[in-house]
Amino acid sequence: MIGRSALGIDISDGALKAVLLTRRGRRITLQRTWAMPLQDKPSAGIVAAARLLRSVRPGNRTRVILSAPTAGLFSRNYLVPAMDAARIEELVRYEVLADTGQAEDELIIRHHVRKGVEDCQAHVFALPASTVNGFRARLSKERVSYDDLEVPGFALASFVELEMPSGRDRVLLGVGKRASELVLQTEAGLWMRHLPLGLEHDTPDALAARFRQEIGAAVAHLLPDDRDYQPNECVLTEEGVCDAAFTSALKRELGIPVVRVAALERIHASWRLRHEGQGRVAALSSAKAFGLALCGLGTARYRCPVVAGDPRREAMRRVPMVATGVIAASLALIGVGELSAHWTKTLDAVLPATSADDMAARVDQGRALSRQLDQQRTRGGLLAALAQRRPAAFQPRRALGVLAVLTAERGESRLHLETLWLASTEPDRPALMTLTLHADPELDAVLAEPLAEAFGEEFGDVRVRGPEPAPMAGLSRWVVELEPQ
Amino acid sequence: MRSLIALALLLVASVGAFLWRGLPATAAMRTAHSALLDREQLLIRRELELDPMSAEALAALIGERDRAASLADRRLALLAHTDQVEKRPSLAEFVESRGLTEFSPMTPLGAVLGAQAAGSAWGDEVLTTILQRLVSVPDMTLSELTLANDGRAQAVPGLPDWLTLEAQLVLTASLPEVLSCLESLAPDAAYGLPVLTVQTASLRRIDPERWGTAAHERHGPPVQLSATLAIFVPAQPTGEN
Repeated sequence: MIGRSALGIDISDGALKAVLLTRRGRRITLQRTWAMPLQDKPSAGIVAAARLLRSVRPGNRTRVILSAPTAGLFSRNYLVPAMDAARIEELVRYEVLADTGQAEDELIIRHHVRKGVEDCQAHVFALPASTVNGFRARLSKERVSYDDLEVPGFALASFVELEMPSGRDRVLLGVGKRASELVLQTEAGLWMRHLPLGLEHDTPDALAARFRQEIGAAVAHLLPDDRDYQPNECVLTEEGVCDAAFTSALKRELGIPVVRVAALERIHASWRLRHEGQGRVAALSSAKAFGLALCGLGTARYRCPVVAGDPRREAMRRVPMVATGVIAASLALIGVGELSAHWTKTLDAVLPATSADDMAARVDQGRALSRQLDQQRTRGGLLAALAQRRPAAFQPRRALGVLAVLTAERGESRLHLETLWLASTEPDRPALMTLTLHADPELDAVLAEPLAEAFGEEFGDVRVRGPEPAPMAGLSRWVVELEPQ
Repeated sequence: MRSLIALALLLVASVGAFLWRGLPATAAMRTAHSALLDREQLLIRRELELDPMSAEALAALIGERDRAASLADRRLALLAHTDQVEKRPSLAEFVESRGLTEFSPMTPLGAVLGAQAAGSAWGDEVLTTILQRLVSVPDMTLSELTLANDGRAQAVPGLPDWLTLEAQLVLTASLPEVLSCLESLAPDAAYGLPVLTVQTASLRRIDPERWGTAAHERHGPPVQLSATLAIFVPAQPTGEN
């Protein structure tokens, strides 16, 4: 998760106090604090904030939250039925206008809703529009760029709720040098009051007495009559914490424990933590600045911006995402072109125009190969036939051998070989040998079978024709045809 | 603001690049695709028309042709050792070296043989080859040895790299010698080129007075051998053999 950071700047009580927090997941880290006194001039706080921002130069990812001017702050709590936000806003505006008796355009009305099962608690405040607009004009004049204006009371309550959670009634008191924030906190409500009363205005004892009076007046004026408010502690923050005499006097005046935020329990300290213009104790007492920074991180319990700040900051915060989108779109556009060019080449390479010619060439090659195969087979057959002429030349000797044996068996009877004709083999035809024999007529009846038998054993296929009258008187002619296998 | 301007410039540049190169490229791709489909259809039509042979079938055909050629070459090797390069003497040299006076140019047969040897390209070599085979048989009388077609070689159907000549001979000898002569004219690889084969042969007794002698008496009267020889020579000279 990408971390977020927020710079809370509080200029509501005569001093500038600023806190830089970062958040990564649920871990909140304190990075830096600043404190500097302000001159007693109306715009001293804004000038100091501008100077701080120029020196710190927070990036666009750092949200800058400023304390809103709370002079003329009107604070109420209303119990409203659970309904949609627009109707609650309508109801709240109606109630505030009825209670203040002012016109709608004279006030800036904001509320923070704590939803219940059936009813909702609406913590409502209203600020004079003229005060807020004048403050914004001075911020603009001093070129102070910010994200939100938050009421210091809500910021104070948010910080105390984070570090010292409690469901009981208590008083939150942020006592500054020239002004203070009073917050009455109960389980069911939150009431704020800005007091133009600070440490510079009186002695600690007198000041404590005046705060007791202010608290009593606030309880009487703000809280409903049917609400029995019994605070069991007072949480003291801001410069008042560092004034031991005031703290003791306040404890005596109020008669309840006065506590302070002595250590940060939920906020971790960075290893690079620096406190500028103040010590650690004073830094921890900057509750409103802490609360404003928590609002910037989105973790404040009571977050209710008075007005939105410079929209350019929010816009610039979106620049990385927009830039990523633009770059991605640009790359996609360029990529589409390049991919198209690539695919054009690929498509052109598939089944090129010469494929048909290649196919025809392959067909021709196949036919030529078939012809060559036929030629080689024919050549092989012819050469085989020629080779077979060699045994054919030796067949006359075999035939004469057979004939010699046959003649010897015939005794004195004449049996002569007239001619021997040999025709060597031709392709697909066996060799042919023809013997013409002349024999005594007395053999006419008995020679055919011995001839066929004797030559058949040696040569296989034998045809014997005869006897016929021979040209030579007194002899018979026999013809033996052999087809040696 | 500078970032936004840079992003806008990048976007404009990329859009420009797309318009300048991308759009024509996509159009070209569509055209290429369409052309590919056309080529595919054309190829399918040609394939149906030509019935082409697959590469595997072509390779199988090549293998079959090579096997047939190899078989034919092996059969040729049985007929003649074609790699022999031993120089064969001319007819005159052979007759003189062997002292064959009956074939000297002074005799009628020798004159005829000499004329035939000089009358054709293959005559001398063919006649010398035949005589080399025959003279190994003693007591043989060669009365005729003629080259057909004036010794002109003819093409052999089915054997384009071979030519053939035809020769007729008539000789007389006793039966054993005649048989030896006939067998010496059979194809013999050891003799190399040209290849001699006996096409037809006729053995015939020529002395009517001696008829009546039994056929198994091989040492009987002279026998006449008439043979037609088919002589095969390479169409292209393979060497000085």
